[in-house]
Amino acid sequence: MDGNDLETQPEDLNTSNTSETTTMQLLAELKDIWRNERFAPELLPHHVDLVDCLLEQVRVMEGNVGKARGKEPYRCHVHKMELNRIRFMLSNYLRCRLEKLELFTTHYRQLSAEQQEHFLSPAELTFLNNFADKTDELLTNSVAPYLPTGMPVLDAWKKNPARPKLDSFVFVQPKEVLEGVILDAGTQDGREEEIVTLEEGGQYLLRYSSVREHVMANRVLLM
Amino acid sequence: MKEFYLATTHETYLSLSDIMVTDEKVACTVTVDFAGLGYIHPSSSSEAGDLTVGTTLDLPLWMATLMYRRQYATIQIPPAYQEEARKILNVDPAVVDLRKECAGRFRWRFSENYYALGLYIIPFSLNDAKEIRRSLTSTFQHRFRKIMDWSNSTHRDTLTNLYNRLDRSEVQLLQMGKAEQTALSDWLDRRTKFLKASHLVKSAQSTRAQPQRTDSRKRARF
Amino acid sequence: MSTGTFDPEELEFLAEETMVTIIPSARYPLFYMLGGDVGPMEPSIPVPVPLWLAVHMRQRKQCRLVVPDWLAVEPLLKLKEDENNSPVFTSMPTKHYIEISQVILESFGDEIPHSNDIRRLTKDILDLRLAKLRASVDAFIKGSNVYAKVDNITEVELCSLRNLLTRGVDQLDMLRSAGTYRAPVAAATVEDSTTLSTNPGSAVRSSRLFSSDRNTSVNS
Repeated sequence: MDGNDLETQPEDLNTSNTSETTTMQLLAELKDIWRNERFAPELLPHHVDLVDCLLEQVRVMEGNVGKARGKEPYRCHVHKMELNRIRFMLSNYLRCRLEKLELFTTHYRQLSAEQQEHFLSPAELTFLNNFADKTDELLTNSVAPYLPTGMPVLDAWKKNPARPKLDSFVFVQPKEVLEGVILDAGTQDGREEEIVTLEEGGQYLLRYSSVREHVMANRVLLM
Repeated sequence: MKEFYLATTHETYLSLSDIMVTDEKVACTVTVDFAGLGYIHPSSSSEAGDLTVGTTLDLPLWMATLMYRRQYATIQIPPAYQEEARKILNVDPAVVDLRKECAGRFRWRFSENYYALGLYIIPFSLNDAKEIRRSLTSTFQHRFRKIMDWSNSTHRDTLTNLYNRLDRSEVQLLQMGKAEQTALSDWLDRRTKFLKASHLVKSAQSTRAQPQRTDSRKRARF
Repeated sequence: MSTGTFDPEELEFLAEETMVTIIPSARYPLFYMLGGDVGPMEPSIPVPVPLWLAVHMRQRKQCRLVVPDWLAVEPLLKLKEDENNSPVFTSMPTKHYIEISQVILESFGDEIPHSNDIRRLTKDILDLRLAKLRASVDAFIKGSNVYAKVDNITEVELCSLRNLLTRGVDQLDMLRSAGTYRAPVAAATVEDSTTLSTNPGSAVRSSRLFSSDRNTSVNS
């Protein structure tokens, strides 16, 4: 990156996949991902590449702003405002994911290693394990000293921990036409499933489980 | 996603609401003799001090389910879920006071954990399960409209009265609805831009200010 | 911050990225922003900028706003009348009409003629739509629906009862399926098992607001 000051246009960013994406596209993607993450009842697959890319861009820009501070205060100010906005989105997105991990610790700990890799970034995995271990320690040590000797602290509840409710309702806006969306009516009163087609740009109220794969593939926007 | 509503706390091990629900008493009939436990039940008539078959006790739900599973007792459906109560609810669900004592044939009372307890009871009621389920569902559906309306209301008096008439889960929903409505109206009035000092800080400041005043008053007496 | 919903302030944050046209009163060169280039600005020449930047420049008294077409008394009166007459939600000029109008009226209020009327009109339109929304939610809960088409609703309206609605329906689900066996939804699987069936089912569509009448099928 040879864009060393604010007056020259920065290069387009080349991601490691050698597909050229501009920062504008990254930002638009971040907004969509942020919204989906906020509304989804479960943790969505991680986008650590996108986050790292954007963070890098933000840091470079902040460096440039720092260098140009004395010369053009107004320009620095405007850039700083925009960087604050981007930082807010990024940190809110990451905090939202952490909040979900804290709520459903045991559930996410019980996923297979492959699933964990798909949904959690490496840093989040470390966080999850640390948090889970410390919470277990706290729970055990609060109770164990008061139990009669020889009585174990029961762990059986962990077989059935709190899991994200995947059939809660969400508002959905498809980005493209989605065919064959199955409305799962469950086994209530013996109703069968129903299949609908969602139009692009329309807005619907559905169960999350009906559109789960589409959300993960970013084909719909949750609202 | 504050997880304090019924759908997530039901049957969750670590949930306090769930612990309180399973503490509710239900009437059980013992099906096996328990030696030496006659003192539990005051009207036990056995000479040897045993708990005999056929005695009806009030046990907390958590114990009752354990006894049921090991076939030591059968559970009776609480009066609040039986037909008479269901009829009353059917007439106009929205006005029923779910926490009040009702004078009926059995002198029963709906409880503040009406829905939660109902969820636990249904698996034990072999004949009436469908009816109870239907009754719970339709009660909830009709009361939901009222909850939505009340969450809009700004009248303070109505609300404090309401909390005494609603089931615990309905109170939680009402509070959620109220929080959303106040957030929206605050935003529309543009009150949200102002950062306020937290309650903790304010009360700490006021307690620090007081001792000086009492000291000066004491000194003035001498 | 609350996962599961957006606060109105966060919606305002998102809406502030919309581009508006301002007339700057000073000269500024091209800004290479991460979100897209802005400028260059010459005095008295209209230029598009993001709304947050326009508000900032206004606070330093460096620009005037070219008010969007829809934010005036007549268009709003027509919108309000349309909303009143229509049983469903009408389409709004932008998806963020209420956030944008709030921000503009607050920062540029003195530049806009009849700003009080505009404020009142947008609030009226919002109230109309919220009332419709509440009625529809009630119908949705009372019916046994698992699907509804809710076109033209904006997010601010939704966030006034999103939590209440979703948690209420969760509880309703629980009550409905108490004691019955429910096939568990597979939690967090990686394999993208395509459960998309190839049977063309009847497309259940409804032009009414929140109801999906399961017995009618629209001829497709």
